Amino acid sequence: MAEQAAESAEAGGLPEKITIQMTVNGRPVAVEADPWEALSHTLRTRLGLTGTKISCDVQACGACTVLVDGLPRSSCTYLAYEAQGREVLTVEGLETADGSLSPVQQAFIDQSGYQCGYCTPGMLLATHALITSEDADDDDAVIEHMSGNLCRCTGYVPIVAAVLQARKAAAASRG
Amino acid sequence: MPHFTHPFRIAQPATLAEASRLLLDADGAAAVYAGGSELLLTMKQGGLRYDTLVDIKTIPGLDVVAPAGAAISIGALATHRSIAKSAAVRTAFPFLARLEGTIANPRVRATGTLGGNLCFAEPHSDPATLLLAHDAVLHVSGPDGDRAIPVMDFTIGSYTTALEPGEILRSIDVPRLGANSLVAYQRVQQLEHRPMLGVAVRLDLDDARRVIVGSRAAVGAAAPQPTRSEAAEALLLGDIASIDARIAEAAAALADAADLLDDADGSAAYKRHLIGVHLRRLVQGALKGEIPQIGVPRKRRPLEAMIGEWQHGRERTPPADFKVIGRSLPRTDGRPKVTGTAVYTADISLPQMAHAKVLRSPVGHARILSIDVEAAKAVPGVLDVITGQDLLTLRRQLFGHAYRDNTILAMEKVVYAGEAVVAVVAEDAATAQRAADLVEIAYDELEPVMTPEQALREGAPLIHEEPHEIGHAPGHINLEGRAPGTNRLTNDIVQWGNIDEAFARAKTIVEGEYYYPMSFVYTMEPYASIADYRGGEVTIHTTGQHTYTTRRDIADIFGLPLSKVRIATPYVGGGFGAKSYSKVEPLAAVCSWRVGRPVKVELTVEETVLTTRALDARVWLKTGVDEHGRLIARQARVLMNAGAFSQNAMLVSAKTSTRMVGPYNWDAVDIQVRSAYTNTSPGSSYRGFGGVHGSLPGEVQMDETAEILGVDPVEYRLQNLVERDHEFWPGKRRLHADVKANLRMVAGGIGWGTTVEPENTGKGVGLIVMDSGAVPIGRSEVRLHGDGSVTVLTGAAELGQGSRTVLAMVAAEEFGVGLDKVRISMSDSGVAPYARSTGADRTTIMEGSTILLACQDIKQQMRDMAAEIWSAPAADITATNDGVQRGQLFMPWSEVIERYFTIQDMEVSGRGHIRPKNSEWALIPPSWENPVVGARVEADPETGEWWVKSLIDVADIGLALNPTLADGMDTGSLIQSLGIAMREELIYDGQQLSNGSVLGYRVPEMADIPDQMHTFVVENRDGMGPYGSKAHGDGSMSVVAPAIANALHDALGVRLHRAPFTPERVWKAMLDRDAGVNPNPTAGIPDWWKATDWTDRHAPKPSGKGH
Ligand code: FES
Ligand code: FES
Repeated sequence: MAEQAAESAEAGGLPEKITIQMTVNGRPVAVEADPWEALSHTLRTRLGLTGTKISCDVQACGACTVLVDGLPRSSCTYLAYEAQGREVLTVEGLETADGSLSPVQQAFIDQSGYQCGYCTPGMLLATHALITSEDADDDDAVIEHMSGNLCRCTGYVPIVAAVLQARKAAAASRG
Repeated sequence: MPHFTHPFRIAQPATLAEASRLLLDADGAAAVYAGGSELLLTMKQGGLRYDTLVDIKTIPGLDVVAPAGAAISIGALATHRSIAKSAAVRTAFPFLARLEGTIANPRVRATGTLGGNLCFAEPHSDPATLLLAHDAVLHVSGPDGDRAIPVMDFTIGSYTTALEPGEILRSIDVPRLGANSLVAYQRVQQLEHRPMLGVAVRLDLDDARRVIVGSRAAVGAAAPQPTRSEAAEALLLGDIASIDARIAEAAAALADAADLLDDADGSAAYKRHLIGVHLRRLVQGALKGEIPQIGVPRKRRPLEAMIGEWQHGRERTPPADFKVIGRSLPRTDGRPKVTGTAVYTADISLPQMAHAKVLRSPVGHARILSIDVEAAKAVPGVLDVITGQDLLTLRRQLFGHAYRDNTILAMEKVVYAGEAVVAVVAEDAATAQRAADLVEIAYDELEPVMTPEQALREGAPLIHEEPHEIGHAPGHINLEGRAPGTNRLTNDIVQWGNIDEAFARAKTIVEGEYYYPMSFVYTMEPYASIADYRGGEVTIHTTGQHTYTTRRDIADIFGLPLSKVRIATPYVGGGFGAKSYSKVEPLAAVCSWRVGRPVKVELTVEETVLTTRALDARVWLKTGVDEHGRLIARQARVLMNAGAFSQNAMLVSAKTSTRMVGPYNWDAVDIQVRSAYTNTSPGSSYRGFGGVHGSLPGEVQMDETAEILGVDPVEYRLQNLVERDHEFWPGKRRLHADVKANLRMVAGGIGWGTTVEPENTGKGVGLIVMDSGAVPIGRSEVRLHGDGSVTVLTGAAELGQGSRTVLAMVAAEEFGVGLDKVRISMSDSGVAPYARSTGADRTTIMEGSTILLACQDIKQQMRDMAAEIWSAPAADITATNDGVQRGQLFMPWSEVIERYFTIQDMEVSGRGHIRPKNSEWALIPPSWENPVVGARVEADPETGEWWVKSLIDVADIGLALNPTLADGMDTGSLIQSLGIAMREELIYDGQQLSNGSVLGYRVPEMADIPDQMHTFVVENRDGMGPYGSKAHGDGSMSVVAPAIANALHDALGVRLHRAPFTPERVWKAMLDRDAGVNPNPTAGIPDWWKATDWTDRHAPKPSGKGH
């Protein structure tokens, strides 16, 4: 039965190997992948973008957070093929074109919003998504949003300080 | 593992009919893939396996949220996020919008769908509960056409719905509410990442809004499926003026209707109680027109105000006598860490690298009868399948610094569920995992012993039958406690004075039993190692924080010289003790040795907790006070669960005994700690080890004693605390701290005695002195280059604590250069000199001291070199921070080097070391860490939930070399330890760990942080470290739990003797309080301890008197 299902799946489904065309950090890429692989694997192993970290591997900790079309996703449980035609942003894409740090990155440095740094890529992307959203000005929403990303080192308070700094910078640049 | 283990296909039907046919044809081997969040996570955990996922996102129109007649129709593919943001839903069903907007986390909400959630029917998920109150209707399409199913009939059990084979959910219709209908919902989430309870209610009022003419009441997330209760609904009907009288009965009916579970979330009795509380609050709130927030009813202070105060509190004037030290310079690892270029072990790939996966024992205690590896070996891509028997040609099959009892792969028997038995090495990790699953192992099960009480009873089965070889670093560890022929691992004794005489003199005696839980350290980065064993040499990149101890373990396993073993630790994603000593390095090395290629071993979080956890402590404690209120006697008996291998449990046990003493002037002390091998995951170090095991009983009992004496707990401590420079512990270093002043500061910080707390809010303090600093052995090397820049080589590891920055600052200060001129190379045994370890708060004071000595060594050489250049006696030349000076003459470093060596590219290298013999480091401890923590908590007097309003502490650290990094350590450790006060506890269910994953073991989140945090940094330059600094980093971790227990007593009048102080435990303590239960019965040394006394007959006689 399973074999039959496989055959019929092939009719209207993905082939055994696929080529995913997506934009990663502003650049178009085409990458060979398995249809059953997680985006974290594609990024880390196939594209060498090891800034995206893996911890819980079950979408609870946020270490693997990347943005797909601007929304935060757990790349550990997001199938890579779903990124076809979409824009993926990872920690490696946060720097501005001239190599200077983004306001979010700068805020984490200024406020010492990291220690071991393992949660940091996910925290940066979660913050990046937050400060441009309509939730940014609501403290409860800020805490709710950021509580999805765990950090074991900092006690979160410096991260809150960084989020507030980044939020201000974003508001200022909006004018 | 970033990859799924088993391949599956993706089908992309164009129509629902096609999707339905695919499902039918697959006969259970295919699943609908919508958002996929729960499906993929369960597949990743191995809980489900499908050959095909039928991706219905290709079918147009299923993600629409739009009005449809008298209802709002939510397409099956609408994400939680889009529902929460939908204007139609927000207006019509504000609670549904809130529920959807707070499910799981933003990532799950962006991907997961309401439809998928309902179809998955995970018993702890809660949207279905609220939909029951809404009479939502689900529209499904299937092979026999379309049908509508009321939500009440849809979920029929745990993971079970009314969907027939081939049926697919199309939309969820939620009828609009009448003008006089009110809906309210509350979710309770406590110990795990998923809700433990949801309560929903709908009240339909008459036009006069006086009478309830219709109602819905539902409960979910606490039973196999969400449930409505018609009996409860009937009871709610009637006049709203008299509703209060009917609610309790309605709640009881609602609880009766649900099949409430006793589980890890809480007892059925507690859930029943919560249903009563929340149904009442929801009904009363709805009638008043209130919309409570979902979750804990906490009002948070505005973030700007909180952060502003916190930042203001860390401002400091830098010391005038230094240029670099004492300044909050930005960390040197900032840029790599915010750009993703910082390399951690798992990020490293080597040419030809293979991957290993481990098959672990499913049982706790068993003999291995046979292992069949043939099927695994036949899998294409598999390079080797390794068992314990394949290691027999090695010099050693076991490792360990204290006792060599840790297997690399199980040999004849397994000693805990989770022990590594077989390793499969393959071209990629998924192949290795698939092959590992094909290995067949036959076990002959033995009786398991899971607790120290079981392990230390006479006649208990032996976990380790043969005595183990003593390890390579037994120094500084008490080996006398191991009782051969029993399961006893340690027996640590601290005694002075005459305890019986002291208690006989005591006017007041207080006793109690306390428990500190087994815990999981959870560093965000799981264990990983990459080993390359070729050509008689091995290089290992690893996450370990004990680079040089691991080097020795590896050398001993293979019989290699130390020079042929290189251990390199790149950036580490958190250590906290969990990465001390060797973990997966031996396994990676063995795999590489077998296949002759580099091999990477990356553990999952679930495997990490099966590799090491932290110890619990069951404590009986007794205090004696004389007629003047002076503390005179402390007696304790403690049992700890060391787990299957000793790892560092022996030191944890010893530190628990010393840290049980407390900074008080006892006439007599009698403390005894025993730990036992059990068939559980090995217990080892956790930040501040033993500190909180000692301080929770000690400091709670201080408050209890003060209460019995009728005195203020802070005053009572002040009356009894040790003075500065007092040798309160016979033979140890005098106390180099003013703990009384520190306590006064913290008490002032939480408004002790000055502010009156509102109802159900309270204050508490806790303190300790800890013998910190581990073993004072280490060496560093510093190179001063001809251009004035500096290279520092040290064996310590950067775990996040900021040593990379702080240690470089020492060299920068000494040579008068900016931090940008200093490069530091850390924790690579192929390059850097020996460091005993990274941990126990030793790095800044010990490695810092060796770096300072190395800098001084260079300056001495510089003076000699300048003496030759100037043809003057070296005694006339002084070294400043920029160069050398002789009278008016000055020469900068670079000129000295260039003129002496005739070339500017040359360098001068200096070395420095410390050792515990014949030096100022001989006296132990090197530092007394003396944290004080004050807490203010607010509690819900009905549910037992509580949250912290203030957390204030003292870091008495001699000198803050980098103030921002220094108090950042405290902020981190305060919140980390808050987790165990709130809800962290590892639980064994039979032989299996039941919550060893991030989902089940919930660590603190940002939502848990208090409204106020502050660290008083005390800088008296009275420590052994560079410039008078003292050990720092673990301290406050150790006293958060007692401070909170004491604050909860102040708030609610309850005594909590068992951490974590879960809401259910607080609720039960309130019941005990109301029933007048005495928390301090005087019963003497308990039977559970006496039953272990027989083990003394098997042990060498302990030498007594501390360690
Ligand atoms: S690793 Fe993906 S959320 Fe934790
Ligand atoms: S900085 Fe270490 S986990 Fe956040």
